[in-house]
Amino acid sequence: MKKIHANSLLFKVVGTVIIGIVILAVLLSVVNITISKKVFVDNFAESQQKIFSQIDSEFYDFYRDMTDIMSAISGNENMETYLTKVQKDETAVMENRYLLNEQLKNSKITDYNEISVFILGQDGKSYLCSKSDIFASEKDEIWNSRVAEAARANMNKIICKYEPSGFTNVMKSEPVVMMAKAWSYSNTGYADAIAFITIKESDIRRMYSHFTSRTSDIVLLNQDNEVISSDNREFFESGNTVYQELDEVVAAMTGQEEDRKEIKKSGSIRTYLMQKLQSTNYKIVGIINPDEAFKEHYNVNNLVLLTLLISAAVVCLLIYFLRQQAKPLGVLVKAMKNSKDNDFKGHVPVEGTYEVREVSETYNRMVDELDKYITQLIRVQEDKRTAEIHALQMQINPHYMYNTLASIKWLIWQGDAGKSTKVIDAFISLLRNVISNSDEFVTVGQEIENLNNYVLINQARYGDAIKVEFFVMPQCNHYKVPKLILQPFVENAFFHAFPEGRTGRIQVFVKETGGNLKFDITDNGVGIRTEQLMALHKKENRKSEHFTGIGIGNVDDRIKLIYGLDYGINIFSEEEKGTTITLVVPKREN
Amino acid sequence: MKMKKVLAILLAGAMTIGLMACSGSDSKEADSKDTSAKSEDKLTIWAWDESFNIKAANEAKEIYAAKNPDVDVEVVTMAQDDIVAKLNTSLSSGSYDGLPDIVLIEDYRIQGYLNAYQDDFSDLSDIASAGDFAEYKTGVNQIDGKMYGVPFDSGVAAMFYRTDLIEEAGYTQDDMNGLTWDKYIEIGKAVKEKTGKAMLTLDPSDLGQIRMMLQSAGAWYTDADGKVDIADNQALKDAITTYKNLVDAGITKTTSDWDQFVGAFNNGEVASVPTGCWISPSVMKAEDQSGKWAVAAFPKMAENADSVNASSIGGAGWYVLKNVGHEDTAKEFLKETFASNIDLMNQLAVDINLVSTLKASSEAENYSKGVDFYGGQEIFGDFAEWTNEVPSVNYGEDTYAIEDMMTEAVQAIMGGADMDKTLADYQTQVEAAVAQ
Repeated sequence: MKKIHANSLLFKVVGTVIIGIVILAVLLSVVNITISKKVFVDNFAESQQKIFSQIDSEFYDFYRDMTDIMSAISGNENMETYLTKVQKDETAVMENRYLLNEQLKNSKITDYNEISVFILGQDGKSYLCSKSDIFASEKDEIWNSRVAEAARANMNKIICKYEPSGFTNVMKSEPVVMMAKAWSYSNTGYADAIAFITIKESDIRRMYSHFTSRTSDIVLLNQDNEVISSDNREFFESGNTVYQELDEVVAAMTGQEEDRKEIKKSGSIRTYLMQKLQSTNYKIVGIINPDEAFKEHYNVNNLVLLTLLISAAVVCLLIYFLRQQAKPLGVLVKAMKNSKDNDFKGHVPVEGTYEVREVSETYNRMVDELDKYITQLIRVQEDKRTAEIHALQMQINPHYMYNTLASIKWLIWQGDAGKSTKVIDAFISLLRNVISNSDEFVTVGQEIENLNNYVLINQARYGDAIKVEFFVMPQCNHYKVPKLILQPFVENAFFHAFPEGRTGRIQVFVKETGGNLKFDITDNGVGIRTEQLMALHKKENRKSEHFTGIGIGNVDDRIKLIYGLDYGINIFSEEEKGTTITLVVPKREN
Repeated sequence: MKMKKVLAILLAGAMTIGLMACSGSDSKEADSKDTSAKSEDKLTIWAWDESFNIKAANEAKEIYAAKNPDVDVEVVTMAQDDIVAKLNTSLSSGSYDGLPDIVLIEDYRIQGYLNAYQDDFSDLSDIASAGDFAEYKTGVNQIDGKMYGVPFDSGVAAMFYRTDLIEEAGYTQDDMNGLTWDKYIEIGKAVKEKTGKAMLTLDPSDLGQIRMMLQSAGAWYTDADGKVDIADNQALKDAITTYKNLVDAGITKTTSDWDQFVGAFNNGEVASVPTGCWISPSVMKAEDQSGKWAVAAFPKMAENADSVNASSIGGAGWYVLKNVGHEDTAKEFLKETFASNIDLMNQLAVDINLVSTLKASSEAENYSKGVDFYGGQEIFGDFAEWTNEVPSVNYGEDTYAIEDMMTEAVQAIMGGADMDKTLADYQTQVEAAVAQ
């Protein structure tokens, strides 16, 4: 697999998408959790209020019965007799106790198995309504207990306290809730009797425990806003932060007469609901802890895991699609990179998305345009060159004309009219073919005729020391060749192969070889080193003896320009033996 | 390309597994909750007396735990009325939630339960045989010849008395042996005169004294067939007369609850306690009175020819509630403890002065030892002797229901009503009440 470039499109898109998904997930979760928490708390509070009403009525029934029991005890004459009078007659005592027992038995005490009722009087007198029970604490201790103190402080009122253990055997092993009422028989203002109703805190809790959950705690408060019962033991430990918070919140809610309050502390929100229990000074408080509930329903780990899984899935799909999309782009990029080596000719395949296809097409079009432009440029260059050569061959050296005319005048002055006429005819024919005929190509026959005329004029000027012979295969005559393609070599041989009046012979052979025409221009002159020859004639000089501006150096360029690199001239020279120049061009009939 | 397909499949797979793992863990949690809620090896035992049967249950628990460390036994103290009330409500509604596996039930009450809810009690014939226990105890916990309970304590009645006070009144310990109630009243008057203390406590709401007198004469509120027998019950008339004599003699101290009852003799306010032998641990709580106590046989009613110097009061047995969920473990527990274990009985004799009704326990070492608190008296030997003499009676099903009404009757008679007429009235009332 190719490594991902940090700057590549793929990397950026994937990165953006991952960040997007994570942000989205976090935002959605937060918003969702916040909303559902609120909905949850509201719904829960509503149902809690219904529960409160139910507990309220249940507790009210219980409390009313407890009040009845207290009244039955404090208003009982036999109880007063038992607690305050000294009876001498044992029969009367027995009757008193019997009646007392019967009366209490007929009170609501017997409706409740779970309560323990006892009465304390002066001088250690006591009455335990539960016959088989027995005091587990000393009576002095009970008389001076917190509960008893509170009862005495609120004479004739029923007070309620939580105690970690009860005062009788049956109640001593468990936390209990005690209701107590103190009253005075003597009207001195000092209590001389206190009735206690003890109930296990667990039995109180049973009135509401089926309504509690981990999400919510229920707390019962007594007249002094002290906790008397709760499903959460933490509320009984006064040093506890939970307890302190409850204390503060209840005080605040009581002061402001609110029944609902939200407390934000260390990131968690707790909702307190409070209701006064009817006909009592007791309150029931519900504490909803939505975090606790949401810990179960919104598992953060699961959320993170789910987000990661979804991100991974999306990223995989994204990579798959992106790569599918980006592949033509990659091909395009590669093709563009290689285009330099391909002379800007390679097309890229048009595929992929609309954008990529468009780019590919544009690229291809651009390559085509570029190619076309270059071709055009080359042609313009070629045309320019051709025109240049054309101009050169049209340009007959004026000195040649002066000298030729001077030679004809000389012949005429000698009185050789026949020869003069012949030379003039040759000159006319030569001028017509070169200047008047604007075709670039001429037949081999015409070229040989031009050469013939040129040779005739030259021989008229310089004598017959150099003989020129033509050997043309007749079938070659009608092929066309560039005009004046042979003349520069013949001219060269005339003026350089035979210095100082030496005699010699120039032979021109034309034959066909395969698809080509082969021209050989051979002389038996002094010969010349090839490189010397090429260097010598590269530069165009305008000496009088040259016929046109075309030098032998131009010929090779022309042939290559016209026919390609496979054609051209070949020079073979040997000193003192002569030079052979070979030209090869394709056979062309037009 | 292929790579990506593989990746996609892997990913889909991972997600599926992840989801499955989530749901999987949920179900596992639910499973574990189920099993923890219903532990096989937890026994609950209910009894009511912290200084007596609760202690016994706890010692049995220790003995059993030594051999069966996996079983968790919880002993719960409840008021006896509470136990009765809870059994009544739960058994009548067929709901066993919160009921104990093993419960102690008083002999007076058990017939009522066994007749009404026979199917709720476990047949213990295979772990306890009637022949191993005192004869008068096993009558009440059998139905159709099957043992439904393991008899626990003897309720044999005895006269606990203060030797120092008796002597102060001019009598000797010999005078206390083979007592009649007339003699007892005589001594009581002397005690009251010499020491200013009452001879005994009486609770007008509790006819225990009358019951003991009845059984000493082989009689009960019901006859041998379990039918209400009040109007023409001579033993009952004699007992009420004796009761009235006690009150009229001015030698009684009225109490109205258990606490006052125990308080009276612990504080030295009375000279004697005629009641079941199970009161011994409570008597012994007053350590300062050690050596000042002795035990004599229960007085007989001289005017009644059937009356003997032996009776019984209370006493209870262990029962297994079949449908609570741990029947086999509960039976195993009783088999290894109260139904057979002599070592346990031996230990309990010292710790709670248990007079076991398991016959074999009389051979136990501590049963032949003297008790210092009672001046070295071999009280267990005496209790055992009296136990054998206790006349067997049919308690019927409704002892407490009848007694509830009888307190009224007795109170009326105390107040001067004609006994024959009153009893005749109550015969009708009680028959009507019991018929319901």
